[in-house]
Amino acid sequence: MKALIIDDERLARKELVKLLGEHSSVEIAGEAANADEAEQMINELNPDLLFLDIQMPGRSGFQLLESLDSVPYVVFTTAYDEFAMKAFEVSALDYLLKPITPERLAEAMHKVSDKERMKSARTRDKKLGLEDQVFVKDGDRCWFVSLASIRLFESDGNYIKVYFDTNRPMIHKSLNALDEKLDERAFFRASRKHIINLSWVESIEPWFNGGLMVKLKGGDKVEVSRRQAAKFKDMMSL
Amino acid sequence: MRNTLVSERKGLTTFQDEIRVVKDYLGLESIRFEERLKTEFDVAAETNEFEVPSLMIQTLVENGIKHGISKLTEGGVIQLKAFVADDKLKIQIRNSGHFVINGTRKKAGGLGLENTRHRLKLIYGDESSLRILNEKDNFVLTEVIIPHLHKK
Repeated sequence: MKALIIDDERLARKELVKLLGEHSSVEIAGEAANADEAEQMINELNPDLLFLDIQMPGRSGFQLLESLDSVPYVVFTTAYDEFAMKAFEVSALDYLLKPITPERLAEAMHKVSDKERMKSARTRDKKLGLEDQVFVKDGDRCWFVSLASIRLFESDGNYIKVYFDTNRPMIHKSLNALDEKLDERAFFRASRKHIINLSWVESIEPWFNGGLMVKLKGGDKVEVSRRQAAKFKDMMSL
Repeated sequence: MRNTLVSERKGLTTFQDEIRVVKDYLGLESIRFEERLKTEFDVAAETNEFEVPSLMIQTLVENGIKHGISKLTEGGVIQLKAFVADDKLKIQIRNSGHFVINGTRKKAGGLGLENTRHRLKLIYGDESSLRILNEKDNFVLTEVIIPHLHKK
């Protein structure tokens, strides 16, 4: 997982980098010396984990967290114990008092990986598979449609066209958001515009530029972009 | 540290020794802050034999670091100037930053300074003084005036 170290003291960062060398699961994506630097790096690098000092010149570690849209896992690192309550309030994973010992850091990393495991288990459980049914409403008409019968999702502006039987109702959602909810073993993101139901695939032909042309049962044809074609081959090959 | 314990009993130390402690202290902070901390000393020789409450100057310098330098992204300067004027020892500590006058008096804020004032008064009475003020745009001046103790 990608981690960002935020501390105004270079030597403190260096020490933590050294200690983290023992933990192969962590890749240090960057180091920031203050909240402003950190905010920029978080937006660019999208780290999974922050090691965050609290007292820094300019904005504090807490103020940094307040300004983030999505907050990664946070492990506070500070020389003071007086912020522990507040750290608890912002649901930090752990609170390391400097000087940080290797044993204590290992404990913190345990918490991080536990949390990570729980999260991935939860998201897997929540994903929608072929056996699930979804509610679709378009204008006056409603359907409670089984995902198994939906062969194709096509994005159209801010809407998604849902193809099943002879219906094509529109739902107000982004294809990216939908993609995240669907089980990747049943549905495949063919391109920027399309998600296909793999159980509806009838035939596949090589297409231009290393892409693929997928024909679905019922006659719909969907082009798979080159990038996604490579991923498709990767996922579906023996 | 042994140094500290011995002098604790006396309560007073020569200004020369106190300056040595301050320099040691700033040496440590320089390791911590690296290029963010610059220090300048301008200490007149005739100040050496004045007796000062031990660790008082160190405490004031530490204040300058804690409230001044450590709050500044780019860091700053600590200047210590000491000289004799009107037969009294005048110590001026300047640090980059802003002195917030009683900004928010919560937690232990201001307690250290209050203690220092008490200590001065107990030892020297009204002949001593301590003041802190903003100087120029971005400097804080801490000035301590200490009389000759032996003459009394």
